[in-house]
Amino acid sequence: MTEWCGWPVVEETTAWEAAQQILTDSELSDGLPLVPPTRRRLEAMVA
Amino acid sequence: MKDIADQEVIDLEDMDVEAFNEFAAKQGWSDGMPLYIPTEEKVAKFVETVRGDNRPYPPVPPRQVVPTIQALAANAVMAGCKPEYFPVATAAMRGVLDPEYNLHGTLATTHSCAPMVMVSGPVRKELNINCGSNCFGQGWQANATIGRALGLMLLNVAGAKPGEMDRSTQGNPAKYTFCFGENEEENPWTPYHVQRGFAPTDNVVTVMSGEGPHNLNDHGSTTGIGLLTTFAGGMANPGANTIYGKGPMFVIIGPEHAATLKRDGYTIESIREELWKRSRVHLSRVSKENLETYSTTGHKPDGDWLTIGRDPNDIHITVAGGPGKHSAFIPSFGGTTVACTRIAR
Repeated sequence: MTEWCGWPVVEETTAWEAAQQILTDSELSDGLPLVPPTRRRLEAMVA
Repeated sequence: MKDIADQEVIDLEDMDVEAFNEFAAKQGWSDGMPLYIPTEEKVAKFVETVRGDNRPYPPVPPRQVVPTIQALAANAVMAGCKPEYFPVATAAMRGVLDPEYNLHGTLATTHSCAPMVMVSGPVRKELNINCGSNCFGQGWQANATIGRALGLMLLNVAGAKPGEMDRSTQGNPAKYTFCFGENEEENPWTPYHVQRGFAPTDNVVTVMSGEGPHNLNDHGSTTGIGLLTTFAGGMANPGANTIYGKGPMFVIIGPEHAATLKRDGYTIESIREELWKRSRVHLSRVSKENLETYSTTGHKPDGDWLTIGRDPNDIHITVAGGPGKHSAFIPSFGGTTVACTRIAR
């Protein structure tokens, strides 16, 4: 995992289940499945 | 539901999760939030958790299909459940299939009702089901995904597609997920499942088709009767289905309010009686047309008042939540019941 503007960035190759655990451990989850914030998705969101 | 949903196994080739979510949305399988892919491997893990529970499922209305355990498991996987949550989700499914629950009516109605899921017993701690602060809210995977799993089962197995079979006028955020645990540890009376005849060590799921929780705020009252006056005022609602006088409702008392009521000598039974007397709706708050309708359907006023529910036993009481001077009222759909199911584990 890396960071982007202070937020965790999940690698594209990280499995969704593993990404959920990373985000849950970072206290970023509401308990429901999250779409992993990868660099590709983050850049698309702010473009 | 599309025909593709009737296939037991669908070949997704190398579809990634993002593509699966788009595919699932097109099929009408999604509630709009991210889904996990229900791979055969994951579904098998979930099915393993209910091995030994061989009671057949009846046909699920409105579609009247007999669900396979794999179909139920696939929806729990998509919801984000852990495998160990699956016996709770299947118990909830069995609960809504109680004929008195009236699943067809509760799914096809224009009312906003959603399936409330309450978990009792030691399983709450084992699965980290939130019973305390923010128990109706976000932040706990078990609460969030068990309630969501039931919602997806009702969408994809029962066929309650919004705007088609699900005719709710406005819907309700609780339709996404509505699952919480009883706060048995701070309940000064008897836990709900024990009130219903189960042993304290039993793990039980209780379901009711209800609205979302209506807050009952009372920071000012320092006596039990003061709190009950406030609660009853919040319950006396001419716009809730309870005004039809033919269904259950829940009052979920916060621990601080419960302690005050207990201190003043109230029991579950005396709380019910007091709320029953005080939650009546004065006829001045009911339209002439509605009053005529209620009278023709057998719900006649008692003097100048209309009762909510049939008798005090329609008011179901338990304790949940954390610190603070709040409780909650959950009116039901009306033509439904409160169904309890032991969790098979």
